[in-house]
Amino acid sequence: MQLAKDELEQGGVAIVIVSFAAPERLSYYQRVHQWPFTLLADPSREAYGYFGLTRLPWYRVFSMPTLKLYLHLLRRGRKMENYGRDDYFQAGGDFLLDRDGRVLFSYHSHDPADRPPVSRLLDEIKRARRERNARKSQGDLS
Amino acid sequence: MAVYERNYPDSERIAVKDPTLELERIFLLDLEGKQTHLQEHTRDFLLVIFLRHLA
Repeated sequence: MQLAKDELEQGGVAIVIVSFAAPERLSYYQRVHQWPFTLLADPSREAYGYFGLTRLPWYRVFSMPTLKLYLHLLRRGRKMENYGRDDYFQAGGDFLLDRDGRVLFSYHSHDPADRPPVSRLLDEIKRARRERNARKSQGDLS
Repeated sequence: MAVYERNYPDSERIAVKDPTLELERIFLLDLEGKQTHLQEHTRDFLLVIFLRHLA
């Protein structure tokens, strides 16, 4: 995702990462990881609920895809930091919106290892831009 | 208020009851604990990524 940041921003896409961790914990996390994105906190999880992101059942959290993901990360040298107690059951998701708030693409993670590939997000953004340009053209013609 | 129908079979694109969200009403906190809302962070498009736990 970090590699695609420039491409996304040049295309007029802002990226916001939302966590249910409290701001002070998220601030520490950001000092460790230095993500080049805007990080925002939703400790009350109202935004999570607004986007339909609930808690996952245990059998999806402790599943084979999750185990494979963490083994893959550990093999790549990823250290498991302790950021304090956390809720491992909260679902995540990815959403593409336009400036009017229209939902152009939504992806609710089925389990912790389930995220859309960046290539998929880029494809959806290209599609959204094409559709917006087509609407503009139709508006110009009418 | 959940906007989305939850009866989709997988995590692909899903049906929405109301495809337009009022971004200025979705409040969050920045890293200093100050209130902000999604509209403030939007350009032509906005990609919002909701994390699971911090790892």
